[in-house]
Amino acid sequence: MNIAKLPLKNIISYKKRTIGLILILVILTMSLFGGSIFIKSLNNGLDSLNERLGADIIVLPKDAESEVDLQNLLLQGTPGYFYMDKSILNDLESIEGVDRISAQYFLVSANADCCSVKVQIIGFDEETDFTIKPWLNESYQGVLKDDEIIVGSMLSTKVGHTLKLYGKEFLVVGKLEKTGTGLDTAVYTTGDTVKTLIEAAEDKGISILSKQSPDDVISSVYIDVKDGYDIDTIVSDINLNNSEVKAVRARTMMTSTSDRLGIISSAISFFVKIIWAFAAIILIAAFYIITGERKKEFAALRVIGVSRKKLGVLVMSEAIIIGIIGSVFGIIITGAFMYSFSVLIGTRLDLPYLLPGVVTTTYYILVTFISVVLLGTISGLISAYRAVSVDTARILRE
Amino acid sequence: MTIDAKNILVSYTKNGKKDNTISIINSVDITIVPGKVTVIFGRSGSGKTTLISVLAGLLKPQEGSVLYDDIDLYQQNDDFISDFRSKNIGFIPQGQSLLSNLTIKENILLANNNGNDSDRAEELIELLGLSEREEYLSSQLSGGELRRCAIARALINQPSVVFADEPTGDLDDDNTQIVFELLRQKAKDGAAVVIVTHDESAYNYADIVYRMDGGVLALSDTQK
Ligand SMILES: Nc1ncnc2c1ncn2[C@@H]1O[C@H](COP(=O)(O)OP(=O)(O)OP(=O)(O)O)[C@@H](O)[C@H]1O
Ligand SMILES: [Mg+2]
Repeated sequence: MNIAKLPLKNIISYKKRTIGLILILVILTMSLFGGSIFIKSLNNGLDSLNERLGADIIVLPKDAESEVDLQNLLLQGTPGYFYMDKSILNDLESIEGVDRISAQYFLVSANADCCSVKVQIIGFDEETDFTIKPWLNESYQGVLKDDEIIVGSMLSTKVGHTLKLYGKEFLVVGKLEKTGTGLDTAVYTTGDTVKTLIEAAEDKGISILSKQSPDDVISSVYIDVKDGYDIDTIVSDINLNNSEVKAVRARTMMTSTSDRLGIISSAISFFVKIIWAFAAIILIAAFYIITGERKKEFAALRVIGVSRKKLGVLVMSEAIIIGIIGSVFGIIITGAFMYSFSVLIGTRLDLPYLLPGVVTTTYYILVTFISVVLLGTISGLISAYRAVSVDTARILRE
Repeated sequence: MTIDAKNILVSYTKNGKKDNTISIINSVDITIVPGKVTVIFGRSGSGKTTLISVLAGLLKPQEGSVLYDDIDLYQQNDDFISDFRSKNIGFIPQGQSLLSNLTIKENILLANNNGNDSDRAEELIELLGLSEREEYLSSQLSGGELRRCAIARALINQPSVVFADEPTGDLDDDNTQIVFELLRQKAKDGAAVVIVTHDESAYNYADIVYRMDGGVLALSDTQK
């Protein structure tokens, strides 16, 4: 036994005290680390959605629902479909300033055997697509054949497995990167395949189109505008000249989401700050009170020749060790929770939610760790000051 | 080591008012010599604990000096005084002063400044009749056992000066005798031993006797 072993000994033997302090520190850690990860994941989700859309303008059928449907599809993964006449594609192609343009076809699966719920089927045009293929994650480089599909990252099927849609077997040849959005639960295939699926559905008596032929419709058009052209001008041009469709700026469509996200983020940062303010006060007060109750112990150490300096170091060491234990525990608990329940959190939120990568997470871990240990150290300093100013002679008489 | 305290004055200001000063130790001079047992008798509140706190470097007096041979204790900084106390002074406080989360043996070894002299600790534990209690936490002991443990702790570093404040306060006659014998033996081995007590039986072990009254120290007229 010696003085150097005393901090650890004290931490272990005064269990209630230690657990109480660690609990406060764990709460501090959880709020800061959890809050940061949560806010970052929301921002990541929105960024990834913006990036994934990859288009400046989206053209949809002009009815109130289709825009809402598309938003639900993107943000929550709620499957949906809508159609407009294919002829619009030619009109749009000829607009001055349009760089890339590609049509997509939407359909909802009847219960696919992969999944307990209906999945979104998105058909894209192999030749013109610029929004889906750049995100192919796995090896697939080729051209999709009629019976091949690509799946979003959240579907449980693997590359090489097959999936049945409207009675037809499809081979999964690729998987997309995770986006944290509704795009993760979709199945991707060619426009032609979607058309045959529509026919297959109608053969089964599921009516999807009222009168047109599947060959004459598309669901949406994605437009990439050339640099130097004003996106808003093109949007209003399209809307003026085509009564059947509605063009929206991709970014505008995201504004409401972005606003909601801003509100959630600031609410969370506010709560984190409140929790910190309270917990910090409680922590400092707890250390202060505990030190007061340990006067006899400090006096005893002074009697056997422990200097004020060493006494201060002893108290500081205890505070720092407890700070480290508390923040490490808090980080592990929060990390485990945030990473195991990220899907659930994302679903509950109805917002794109994408956890940060290793580098960002490590950064948050470090920031949290340093902040919490620092706060522990500050509380320790206050206690240490109290400990070193102990009036030994007076306490010995008590 | 000879301790030479001169003109020691300790006083407290009541309620922070300068004119409301009560003096606790009044111009005390005392010399403690090695190889002798010095006993200070005195009524409760006469200033005995205050005086030995000053002598042991635990309380800086308002006036006066405490010399250990040629070291003027209160001219040194806290690091020096603490280190000096650890190496040279065994102090047995009047009240309970053990760490309650440590065992008897750990409490004793905590004060040990030359490594973990387990043998020496065992020897003292044995001598003070604590063998059966050595692995007990100090919170599980009686007052008398705690007192004996504090004595063992004070003696672990073979100090050249020992201060014992009411060392037999809560001991029975047998243990009182053991403790006084032990302190007597320390003096024989060359240490300067100071015992503060009400217990008149200490008289039998004393070489030099002082009486303290109202902060004033005087050599007893019943010197041996
Ligand atoms: N810090 C202090 N503030 C005010 N009064 C004090 C202080 N320290 C000591 N005193 C007073 O000084 C006097 C002497 O106290 P001290 O503890 O030295 O007495 P003592 O002789 O050891 O008594 P006892 O035999 O009861 O232990 C007491 O009256 C006490 O109230
Ligand atoms: Mg006393």
